[in-house]
Amino acid sequence: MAQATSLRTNPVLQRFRKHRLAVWGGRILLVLYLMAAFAGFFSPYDPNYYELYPPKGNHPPTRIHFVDPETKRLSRPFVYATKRSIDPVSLQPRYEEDPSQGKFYVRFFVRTPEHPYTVFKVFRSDLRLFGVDPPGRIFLMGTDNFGRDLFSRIVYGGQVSLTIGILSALVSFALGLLLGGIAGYFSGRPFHLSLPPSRWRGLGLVLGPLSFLLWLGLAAAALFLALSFARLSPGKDPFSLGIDALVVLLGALAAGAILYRLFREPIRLDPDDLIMRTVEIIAAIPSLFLLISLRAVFPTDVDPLLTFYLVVGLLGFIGWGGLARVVRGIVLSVREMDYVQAARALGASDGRIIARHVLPATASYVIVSLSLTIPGFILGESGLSFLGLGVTEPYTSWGLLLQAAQQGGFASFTDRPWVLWPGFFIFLSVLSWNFLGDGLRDALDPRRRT
Amino acid sequence: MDEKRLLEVKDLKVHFFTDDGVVKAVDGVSFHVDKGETLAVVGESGSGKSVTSLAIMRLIPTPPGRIVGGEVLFRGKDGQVRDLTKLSEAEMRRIRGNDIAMIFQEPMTSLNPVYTVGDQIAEAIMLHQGKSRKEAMELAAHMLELVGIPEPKKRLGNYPHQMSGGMRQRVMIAMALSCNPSLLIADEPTTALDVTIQAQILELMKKLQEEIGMSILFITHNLGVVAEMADRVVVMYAGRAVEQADVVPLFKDPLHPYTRGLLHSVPRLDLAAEHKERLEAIPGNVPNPLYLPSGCAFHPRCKHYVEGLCDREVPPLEDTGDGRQVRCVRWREIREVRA
Repeated sequence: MAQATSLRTNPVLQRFRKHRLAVWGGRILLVLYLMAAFAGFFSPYDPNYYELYPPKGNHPPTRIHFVDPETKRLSRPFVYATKRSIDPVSLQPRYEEDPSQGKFYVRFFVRTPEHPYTVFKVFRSDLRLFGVDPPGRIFLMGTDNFGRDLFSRIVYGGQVSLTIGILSALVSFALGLLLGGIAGYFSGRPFHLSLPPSRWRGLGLVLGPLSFLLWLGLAAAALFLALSFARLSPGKDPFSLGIDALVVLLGALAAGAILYRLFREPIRLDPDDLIMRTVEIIAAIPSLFLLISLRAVFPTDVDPLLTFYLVVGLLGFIGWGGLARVVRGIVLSVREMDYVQAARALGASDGRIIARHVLPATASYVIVSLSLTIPGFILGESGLSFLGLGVTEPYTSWGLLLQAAQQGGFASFTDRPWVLWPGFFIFLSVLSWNFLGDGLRDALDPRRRT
Repeated sequence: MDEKRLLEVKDLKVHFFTDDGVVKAVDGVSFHVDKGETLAVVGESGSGKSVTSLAIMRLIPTPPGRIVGGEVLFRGKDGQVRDLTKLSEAEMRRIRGNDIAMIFQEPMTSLNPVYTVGDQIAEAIMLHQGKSRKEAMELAAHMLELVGIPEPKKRLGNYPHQMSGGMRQRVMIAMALSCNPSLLIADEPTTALDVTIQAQILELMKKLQEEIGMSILFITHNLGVVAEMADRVVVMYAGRAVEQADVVPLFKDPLHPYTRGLLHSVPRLDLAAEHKERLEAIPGNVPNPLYLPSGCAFHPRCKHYVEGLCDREVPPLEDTGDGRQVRCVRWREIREVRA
């Protein structure tokens, strides 16, 4: 009678399979992430490699020939070396094929001992999927203005763009689950933010004075603000004197109210209120604006790797609100379930109940939501990098590549359309994640099936 | 505390502090449960019987509820008597499930739908007895066998939705008894089941009680179940105990007008054949707990109400001399009228 849930018969998997677009999204993502993970293998060149002479800046995609011009018959794919000249009118470099140097056949699984790479920063290797013998060059998607291979840079940029999406999503989900869980589970159980001295007992002996310090600080700040207002705008006429007096009075009143409340009764706060109001405040600020202003708080000339983590943290920080709100709702309803009461009656602690009963109930929502949030973060990273606030050289990301693309002004898009390739990869990954998320939602939530 | 006493509730008060005012859900209830005995707590919805059981387990949602007074003395497995209202939360967790277990009204929702039945029983065992998962699973299978579920080994891997309501209640009982509690609180365990299954479950509980030797605190509004199960009965009304007696005398000679009303409102095949009358009901409704009537809370619905006597002061719980207690100033007159 026990249900056989092998991969073949699992109903969730079956429903997911029916969603063609989602399956394709998953496959494309698999390819993209494999490419990012084994970037060195898939890219023909080191992403930061370029030649001073002959220069290859703004080289268009290399044409791959399949037909031998002499015999007019199909041949192994090959490329020609190119010759550079400067257009006398636009002063832009032009590249022409130069058959005189002979054919350079595209070879697979080539070794490039002069350009080794590492996989996961551990395994050293120099095996690459494809390449041509020097001095021939193969630029699948052209080069940037330094002459670096754009395809290699896109493959390496994917490492940053794709992992930032996942990492930021994980950060924001950690925050959202934790805070949403706390808000929901402890809703209606306010905690003390201060204790009157009459109740300083036990642990309160430590926390009581600590909380007092905090509140006294707040009261002092209110007074200080009011006084400095009066000091900075000294009143000359009776009207502004009156305003000064009023502000000082208000400050004193605020400080007095805090002190009165502090000594009379404990100040209590419902964690639900605290967290949900915070979510609303964050949600009320336009996210790109928030992102930029938060980024502005930190220095821009820090170590590139640090910037990477900074961007992850920032994106995660602005993204947790929506999830926290939904998780709170789910937790609120689950904690009233009979089986939670039953678990408590069996002696389970709060932590155990949260881990065993409450959080698993949010699992299917979280999985779906995760796959639908990641594309947002990929876009967010691109936006930040595009504005020059994201990752910096020598690291690269799709957003950064797009930013480099538009540096030549609008002409760069018409003269060198290949620089828009990173945009295509952003588009492809975002679309794939969205399809995948759609499919997961339909598969995990039978109610939404049509 | 007397050696044979397992649980003694003394003047328990549980109040709920709501925005509309203070609801005195339980207002001075006292009773005791002896070892191996079954005590039934009977009353209408809102009489405070469920709150009493939750208060014993310290599971009152706080806020808004709080135990504001009284003692709950309980003799643990180690023979030590503790006041449960004064224990820390961690100490209380050791009592829950291990010394006192509880089964609930709704077997359909009391099991988590995402875990197998075996998982959930084993969970309780691992929590209190520190056994390995394998040992816990073996014990779980044994418990399923004990509560009369065929093919227990196979059933361990079932999810709750693969079982019927009666089966699930058996699982709940297996879960509750897996740690050999000395007291089982059963909060209307058969209300959600149909009649034939009810009888089976009650039979099972009686059998297990004999085997394990635990006491049962049985919360119900079903007087038929009380007659079947209980040794003694506490009748509750509006947060107070109004009558307490052994089960036979209570059914033969109910003293409090409310108990009489309850007994008369039970359909009886033998009487129906003779009188062909409509079933008697207690007029009116349970009072709003925010605004309890003055004096005896039952007086607006009582046939024997006397103005100026019943609505003045809350009548005390009187000993009648034959081991019974009743909370009615006129119980002697009422008893004579009937005799």
